[in-house]
Amino acid sequence: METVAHWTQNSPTDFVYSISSNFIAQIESKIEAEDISQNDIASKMGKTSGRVSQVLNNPGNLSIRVMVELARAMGMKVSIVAYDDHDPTNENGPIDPDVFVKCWEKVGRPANLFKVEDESACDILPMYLNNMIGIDVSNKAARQILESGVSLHGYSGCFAGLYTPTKVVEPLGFPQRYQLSEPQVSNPIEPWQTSFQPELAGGLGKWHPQQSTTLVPKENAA
Amino acid sequence: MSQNALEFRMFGQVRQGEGRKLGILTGISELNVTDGIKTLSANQKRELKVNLERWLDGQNGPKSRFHNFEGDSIAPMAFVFKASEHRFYGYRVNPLPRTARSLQAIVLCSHAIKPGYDTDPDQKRFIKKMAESSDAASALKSVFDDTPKNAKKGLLQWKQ
Repeated sequence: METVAHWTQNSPTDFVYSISSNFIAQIESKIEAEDISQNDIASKMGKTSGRVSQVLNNPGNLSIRVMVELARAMGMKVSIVAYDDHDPTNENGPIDPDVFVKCWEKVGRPANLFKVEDESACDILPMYLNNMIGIDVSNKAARQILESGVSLHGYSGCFAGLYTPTKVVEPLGFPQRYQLSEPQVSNPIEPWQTSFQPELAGGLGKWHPQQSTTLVPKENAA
Repeated sequence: MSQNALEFRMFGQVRQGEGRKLGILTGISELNVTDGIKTLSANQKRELKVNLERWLDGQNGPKSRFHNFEGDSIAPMAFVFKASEHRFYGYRVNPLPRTARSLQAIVLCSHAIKPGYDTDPDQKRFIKKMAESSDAASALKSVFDDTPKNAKKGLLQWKQ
């Protein structure tokens, strides 16, 4: 089947225009959201209002320097991101920069790659708990669990073998809750000593659950 | 039965989204989007494509690029895309209410060079007229098939 290239494949000028214009749209969104005047931006950039208007209206001529000046005047930062979206013939065009921003915000605005791993763990843990012991836990609770000192390499072992959910019956009998009990391990091993393989890590690990952590069984989750 | 003079076709120069679609209504002189696009400079064409794709990708702004007319007394279904002083007006509709409830489509109808801040009420009245036109609706139906899959199968079995 014949494929049609995206319009930004016609020339580098088209591609540059697309990504520059989307960058300016991000700035314009901030201007609209915070009701900032072009005069304010101009004074922060040390340029005239006319120059700012020219920059906003001619995205095709943006330099990286001007992009940075503009973003800094708005209290923002700029990253230039190269990525491989498995589209070598450019059938789909560039990805909207807000997709990257939303993803970054969704994982807690990590400032470095170590944080990315920690935040990923917060996303993975609820899935893991659901699959392994059939209980739902929110990302917030996952964060609480992980902040208690369990690393990505440790928590799977904890949940695989150490912590059996204890059924807690509320005074009125509803809702049912599960709490994580303290482990019964004679010679606990630190989380970093366990691997990310639940079947191997079962029974290993050390973790002190916070009293407030409550896991709701799947059937009772809203 | 008179033949429908209106024709709807998808906008071919941009990537269509999964939840949003965009096309042009043609057939009468007032439906002048194609002519309007021809008057754009190279950069204005690029600007229009970027803005159309922003909406197709799920963006809802900024208003300097496109916006709806929610709450408008004449045409609350109207929508406008901007490229410098050029304005491309259309209306928002779900062409597949039975099979894709969350789908949004914009039917571009007219082009104008905006003289002032406020949109010309005649422009909005025209958009409203098109949005309520049965000819426009049937032109859309020729592109968007809203027959549920099971219904098609049932009809086929019945015919056999």
